Amino acid sequence: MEHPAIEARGLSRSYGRVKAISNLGLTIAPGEKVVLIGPNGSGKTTLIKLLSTLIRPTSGTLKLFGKDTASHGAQLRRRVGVLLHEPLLYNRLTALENLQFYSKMFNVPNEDRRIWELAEEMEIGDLLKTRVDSLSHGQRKRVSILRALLHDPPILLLDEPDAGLDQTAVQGLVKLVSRNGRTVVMSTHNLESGLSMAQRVIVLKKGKVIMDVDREVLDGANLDLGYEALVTG
Amino acid sequence: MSYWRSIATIVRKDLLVELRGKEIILSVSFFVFLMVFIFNFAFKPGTIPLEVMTPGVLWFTFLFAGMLSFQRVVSTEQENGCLDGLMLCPHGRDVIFVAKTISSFLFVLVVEVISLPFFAVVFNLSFFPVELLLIIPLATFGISIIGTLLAALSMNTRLREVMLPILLIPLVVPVVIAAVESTGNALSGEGWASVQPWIWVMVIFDIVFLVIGLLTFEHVIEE
Amino acid sequence: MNEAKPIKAESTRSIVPRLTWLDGLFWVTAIAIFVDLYLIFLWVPKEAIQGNVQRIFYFHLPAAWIAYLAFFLVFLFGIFHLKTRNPKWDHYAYSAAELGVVFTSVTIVTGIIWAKPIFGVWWVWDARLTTTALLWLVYVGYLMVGAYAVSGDKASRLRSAVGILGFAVVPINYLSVSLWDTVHIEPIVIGGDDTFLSADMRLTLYFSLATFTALFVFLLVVRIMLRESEAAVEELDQERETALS
Repeated sequence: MEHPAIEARGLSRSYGRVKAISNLGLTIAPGEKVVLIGPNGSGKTTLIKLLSTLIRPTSGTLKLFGKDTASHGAQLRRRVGVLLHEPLLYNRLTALENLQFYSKMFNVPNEDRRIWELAEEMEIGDLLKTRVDSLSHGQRKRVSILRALLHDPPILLLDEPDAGLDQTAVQGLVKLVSRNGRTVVMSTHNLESGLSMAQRVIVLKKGKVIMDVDREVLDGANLDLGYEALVTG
Repeated sequence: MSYWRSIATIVRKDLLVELRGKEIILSVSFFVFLMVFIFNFAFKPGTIPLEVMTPGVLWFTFLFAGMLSFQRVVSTEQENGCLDGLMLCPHGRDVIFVAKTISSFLFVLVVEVISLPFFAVVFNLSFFPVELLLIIPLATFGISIIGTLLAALSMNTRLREVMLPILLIPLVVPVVIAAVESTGNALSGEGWASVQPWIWVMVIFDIVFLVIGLLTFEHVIEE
Repeated sequence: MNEAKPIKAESTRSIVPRLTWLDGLFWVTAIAIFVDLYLIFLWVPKEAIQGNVQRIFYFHLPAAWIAYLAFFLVFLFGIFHLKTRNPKWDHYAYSAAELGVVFTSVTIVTGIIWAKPIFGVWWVWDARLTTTALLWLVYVGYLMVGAYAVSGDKASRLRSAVGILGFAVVPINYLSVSLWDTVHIEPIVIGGDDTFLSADMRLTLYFSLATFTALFVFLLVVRIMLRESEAAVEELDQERETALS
């Protein structure tokens, strides 16, 4: 029996007395493409950070591939690629130097070949020799997506990848990113772009899952209304 | 071993960043020169024997130089969320602590080496006691360990520039005292026997602080 | 989302005893304080060399002992807090740190008053005195970190780390007398043969130690209760804010 890629039980995380994620249960099968939708402050970023082991749950358990993140954090991080709001790149180094650094940290074999191959595919080969502080926001985003893919992680977590990129760019990237049966969890507050990329839609509100459905079940127009009602009401 | 490989990778990256920006070594070395001048205004030359004054001035200058460096070394990781990037790498967070400590240590050591000839001229030192080859790295390492931990800690407070000295100075005093006393003994040529007990004090402190740092760093940097 | 939650939050459930328990402790401590004052000022004989001023010793040493005890608790609870992330341990550690600072202040002030007639100066830059001042600074730093931390959740972890780190100064302070030549007397080996205290002096000292310990425990329990109430109030505040928004 194959373990689910992500399995959360009673997951909670509070900041001081604010509960960002509260008693959340979630199972994601390997290869699933999931989109997290919710208004600001609904806990999307916190959930992504929990899944990436950046922060620890206040209570509850979180397993990736059947292994508890509390005890296997370092080992599991090898199998997770993460894109956060910030690019996680050093301003004073070139994009290539940044990528080489992370490749070494992740022990990526043939790092240079891997970096150039990915860069070709993402069409950012000409950016690699540029220092990060002279890249535009969108260019940094692409480099950070490449960064997240370096070690070919079976789980990919994307926190609002569409922020700062245009719609077609995002769709192209997500298609690229989702290959090889990768499990992808992506947060967005753009309902449309979320729907176009995922098989499964999870709506978060106040740290709880208030809706979890397959995309096929939904009719775009209905969802729009329903979502509106759920989020505001 | 992947543990040491990761540490070496981070340190090399820090050196590369410093090479590009030249933010720490140049400015901090200049700061050291400035401090020495200021100290000479503070103590009217000739009133205090130089051999009494030199070790104290030397180590307090190095301590302040250290504080500037630790803050820089840690804040490099703050821009663009790079600390998160390190925390996402497949190793324990203690790797980050050790690497950052080593980087801080190296930067401060370079500043010290640059400024020692200057000290020798200003304080009229005509010889270099070999004991300093042991005293300087041991004391600098001790200061770097706590400095790195506390710089990371004060990054999470408002008033970070104030919190670092407030927390750091009382805690490093034992190491600084040991450094001042042993440097004084070495400079006055009292020989190895008078330096040795202080060396042990520094070794013990370095170990104690290193262990505490390894165990607490992870909790300090986690969001 | 508007239903009001019961006031008692789960996280604040604690060792806080029922009032009867605390009442008992209060009365025992209160009586002990009066007996202690009687022993120190009336019963115990005047010390031969130093005269009456030596009586300050029965405050000075117990206060120092309580400060050590308090800082040890800060260290211990700090470790528990980082291990479990249960806010309860942080409340305990913080309360102990506050009392530790108070008792260190008492130690320093009584020391100063005692030093003037005996050494002729209020303060000397001696190892014991200096490291005691350091101890005070470290734990004031501990209290400050929490006040300036960016978030409440983080504050507890930051100060736990400072509390663990700070405890490294305590053994230096204790050993400073034997490590360096100092004007301060050697720590008294309680019950040792070489003690310079007569039997009634020793009895007074023990009684004073016990009294200070009782007072410390009482104050600690009260402070923890207060701290937990503060936390509960904050929680209610937070809930009200989210309900309003």
